[in-house]
Amino acid sequence: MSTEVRRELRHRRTPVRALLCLLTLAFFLAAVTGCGGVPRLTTFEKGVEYMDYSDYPRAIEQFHSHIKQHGEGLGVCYNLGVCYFDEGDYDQAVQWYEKALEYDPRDGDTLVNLGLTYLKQGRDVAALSRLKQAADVEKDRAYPLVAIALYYQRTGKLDKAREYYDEAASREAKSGYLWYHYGTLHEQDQRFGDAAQAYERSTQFDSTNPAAYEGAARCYYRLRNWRKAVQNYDFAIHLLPTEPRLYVGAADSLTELGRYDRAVKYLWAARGLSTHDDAEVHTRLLELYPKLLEAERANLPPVKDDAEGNGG
Amino acid sequence: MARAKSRSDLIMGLFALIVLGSVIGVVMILQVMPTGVEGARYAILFEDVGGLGGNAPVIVAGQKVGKVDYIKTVPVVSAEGARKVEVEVGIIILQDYAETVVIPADSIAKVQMGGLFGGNQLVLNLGNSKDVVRPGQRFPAKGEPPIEINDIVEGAGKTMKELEEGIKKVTDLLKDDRFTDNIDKSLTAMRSALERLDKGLKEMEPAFGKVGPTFDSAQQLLDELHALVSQNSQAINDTMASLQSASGKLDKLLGDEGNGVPTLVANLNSIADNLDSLVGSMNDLVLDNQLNIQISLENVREATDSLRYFARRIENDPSLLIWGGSETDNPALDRSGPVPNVDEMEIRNSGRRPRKESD
Repeated sequence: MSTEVRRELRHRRTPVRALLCLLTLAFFLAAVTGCGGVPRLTTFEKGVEYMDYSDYPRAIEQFHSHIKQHGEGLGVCYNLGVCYFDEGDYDQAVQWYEKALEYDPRDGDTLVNLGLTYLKQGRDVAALSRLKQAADVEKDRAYPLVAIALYYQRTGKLDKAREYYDEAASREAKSGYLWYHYGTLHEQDQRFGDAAQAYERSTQFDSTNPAAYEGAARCYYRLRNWRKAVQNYDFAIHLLPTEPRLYVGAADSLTELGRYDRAVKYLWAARGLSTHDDAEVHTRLLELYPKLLEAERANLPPVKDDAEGNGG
Repeated sequence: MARAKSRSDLIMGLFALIVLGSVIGVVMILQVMPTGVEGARYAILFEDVGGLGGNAPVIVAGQKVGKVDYIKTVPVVSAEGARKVEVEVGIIILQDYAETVVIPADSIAKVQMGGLFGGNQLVLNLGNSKDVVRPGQRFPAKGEPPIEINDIVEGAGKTMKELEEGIKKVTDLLKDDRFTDNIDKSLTAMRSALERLDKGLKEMEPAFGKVGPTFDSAQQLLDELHALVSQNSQAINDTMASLQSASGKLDKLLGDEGNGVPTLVANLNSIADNLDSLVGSMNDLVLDNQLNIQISLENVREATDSLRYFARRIENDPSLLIWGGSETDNPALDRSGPVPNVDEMEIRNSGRRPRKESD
């Protein structure tokens, strides 16, 4: 074989080798980037998952480790604020909401939450200022106005609160958040019919809120519509089965309906869920058992003493 | 010549860069692009998926009808506050099968090994319920993890070891002169325990007798317990008679041969002539009794479990003694699920805005 031919062959082999090297590199890259594998949750997503399960200490832990790895951002600071708020640590909540505002000073959710946290701390002026800022930022949405209405409702100015709720309804009528809080205002104002309607409207737009169903049930109970009350308590229990208060409310409505056996079951369920021995539950049970006995006696078939009478 | 070589190198380099770029591009596109598979999506919660893969096949009645869409971990806080991680597996039933494969609510998903060299697969055992799981919903029942070969082998090894130990113990027992006395005492103690249990239940009966018409289930439980106790008493009495005959009343039994004594006497009569046969038969006797004792103990354990459960139900809801009720009626019993450590209603009332899902 001549030298020319060998050189020619060597030239032809070089691209093949390079291609093989590149393919190996490609596979390596695919393996490193995790192509085809199961996607893993980031620390932020884990934190969000823990929030969904109301496990705030763990959520906070995850968000802090997210900050260590990726630095601060609007989402993580805001979520930390929410965690501390729900834990009742308002100072920390304010600190994190203010940090979140450094990343986006026009974020409506952060402004509203910060305003409501200030309100919890008794800083009324700062609270109203933040809530109005939110209303300016979110001109088409109802929730900043609802938050202002909440501010007035909690500071005892119910008429002013009603004005804001009405304005919010004109902005965005299909808001579960709006109708739920409007319901609380009506209820506070002893207008149970309006309150029940508002709560029920809220459940139409947000069917995951047990508080709205409970509110509706409470109002229907006051309106002496026991059947609707039981129905709404059952919905609330379905969404939040660990709340003894719901079982007690349902039992009260069932008692009024004469469904004593079911009422007893609900009361014992409430007792089982209570962390302390609830005297209210026991009192109700003591009142209920005689009624239950009476009802059972009434259900017994009549004694056949006709036959005896005829025979004598 | 040198110029041509450098030109060739440049072309080679450019080619390499283009290929590298396109490979990286394809990898990134593949990662970002959705799979594009259409069909009905469901989710199943597992405690352990046993290494199920991302695209594993979903099998119904031996036919591949879909594939695993995603697998993600879900943190769970139990009622006692214990934390654990469960796995949510999303599946897609392919469009072709989406209409035919209707999933009843009591269906169970199992992870199975696909073969010696194949990966795992998800098998759906469809139930009989009238309610169905709709696309987008999660299966009500948790999925079952695969059975590991290692576990089976380990279990078999453990059983063999226990069996060996058991045989050794029986051999040791046979060498001990006091073994019959020991068994005798154990059975006497057990019988007296069962008698006490029977007596206790009889004492409870009048209380149950006063109950209303809805107390059938509790009464049934009581009857079952009675039957259980009487059966076991009979078994124990038989065992006791055999043991007493075998250990202490050999002469008497020998004398009673003509009066139709049990088969055991015939055996003992024959082994009296031969010490080796006696040892053999005694060995059989001990083994038989060991089985009886085991069965009796198992029955007693079941009975005590039932009693404990019944006691727990009564403790939870004493009104059962008066009104009875089915096991599913008491919403507070056997409740599982996470208990939030915050007041959810309070949070709802606070009016705060919800969390953000991305940073």
